[in-house]
Amino acid sequence: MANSWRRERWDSLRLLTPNWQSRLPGLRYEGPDPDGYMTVGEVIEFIERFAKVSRAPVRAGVNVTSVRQADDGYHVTTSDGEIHSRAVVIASGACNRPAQPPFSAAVPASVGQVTSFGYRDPAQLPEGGVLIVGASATGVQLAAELRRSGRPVTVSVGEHVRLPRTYRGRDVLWWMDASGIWGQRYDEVEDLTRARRLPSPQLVGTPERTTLDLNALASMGVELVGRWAAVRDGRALLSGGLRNVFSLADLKMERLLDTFDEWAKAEGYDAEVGPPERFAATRVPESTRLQLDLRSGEIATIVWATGFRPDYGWLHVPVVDAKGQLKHEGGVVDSAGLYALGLPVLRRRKSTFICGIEDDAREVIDHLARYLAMHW
Amino acid sequence: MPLSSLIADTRKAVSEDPANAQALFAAQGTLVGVTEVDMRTGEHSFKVDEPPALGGADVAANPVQYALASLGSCQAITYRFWAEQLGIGFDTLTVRVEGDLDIRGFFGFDDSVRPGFSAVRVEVTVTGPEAPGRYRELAAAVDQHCPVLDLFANPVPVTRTLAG
Repeated sequence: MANSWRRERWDSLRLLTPNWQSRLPGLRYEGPDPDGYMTVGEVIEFIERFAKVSRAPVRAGVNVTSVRQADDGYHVTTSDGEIHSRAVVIASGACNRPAQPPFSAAVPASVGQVTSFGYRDPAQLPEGGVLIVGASATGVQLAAELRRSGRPVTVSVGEHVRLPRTYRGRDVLWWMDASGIWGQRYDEVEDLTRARRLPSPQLVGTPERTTLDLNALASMGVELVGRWAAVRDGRALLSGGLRNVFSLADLKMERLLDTFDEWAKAEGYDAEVGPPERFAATRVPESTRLQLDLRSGEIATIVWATGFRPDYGWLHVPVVDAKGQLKHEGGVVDSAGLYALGLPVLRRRKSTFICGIEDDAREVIDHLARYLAMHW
Repeated sequence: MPLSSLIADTRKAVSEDPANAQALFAAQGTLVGVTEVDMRTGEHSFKVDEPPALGGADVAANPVQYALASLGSCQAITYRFWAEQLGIGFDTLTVRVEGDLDIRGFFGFDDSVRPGFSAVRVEVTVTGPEAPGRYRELAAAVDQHCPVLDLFANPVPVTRTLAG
């Protein structure tokens, strides 16, 4: 239970969502810090408490090694015996394995490599420079933490989602929720494929509610370089298009804030929240390095913060596409009696957030219940 | 055919078979003078030369000028396509491209100097009836999708063989 929180996350991690957004059916956060952000330990406790409250029949410590079609349902092979089931809900999430670019194999052996799954805290890494690849939530958080540990830090920046932590005095995720953006349904989203691949925003959960964007990192002395495209002769080749990547992220944030302002005005929230704000453009360095010599010893460790992939190696049903993604329509998978929950924009933009699962689950389970009623 | 139909038809062809998206472009040429080169690509032929300062007779633009022209024209064309896709109208569009080049790289006078441009600046001027924010959006979309900009800004695997 809560395995990924126990084994695949780093020590200082906190939720990106404020505590008051931790609501599951029958269980809400009722602690003393609703505007704070839960630690990993607190998340594990919350999930364990939910298991008790919901009285779900959990069989913990059991690995599913295979799911196959059977005449009237599915054969589920586990480390604790076979289960025969008429319906299966896949809730293993989209983050089973770190994604790593293929050229990582060409990185000289003298440079250490670690992914966000393996990283726990700065003390685990050797002294020396760190190259963090990726500037989404994981990348910016680890960059700040490792910079504070005194190491030189360079971040290779590709496409990213920039957000302020607070806007007009409220948590930015309050806006996402209240304005209805998070509630937007998958069949209303213009480019669903793109929306499902959006990287996690550059946010961190700290008591101070600080904004951790690229300007903040630069002010800490973190070096920003372009997207890492290839390795040649032991050198990392980086994009010269960093400026464009910054403008794009700034533009998207501006459009989002415009949407928030329009909503606040239309719904009469203007008086309750602070005045509209706009944030400084992401500062572009005069010139950025286009190559890093990975043999010089300057970089002691590479931290891959390049996202995750789902792992469906155990799913022996032909419902996975050529890109390794599950084929589903709002959580109804392309195979009778097979369902999914907890995937990005499964049914709504908030599908993968703790406050988003309930609405999705009701609809998917509704479908499942009707399916069972018709096939007994 | 109007662009909108062309884009829709292409999208359909590619979703039916991704192989339809693969294109190969080629150009070939012969050195016909000191620095004069006759180039041919598809049905088009043109010359490339150097100015006297770089050994030529200036009968045509030089390779790096063609490169900047390539970037500028690709930007303009990508603006056309993306204005169509985003539904953004415009009246005029001009592009100016500049590149800084230290010739010591080409001549080999200093190994630490790169032979190509150390910096390139693209200045786009768009006029039209829409709000400035819309043209910024258009510019962002173009920067994400312009092939020659990608070619300039990001590494490309290049292999060279020698025959004779």
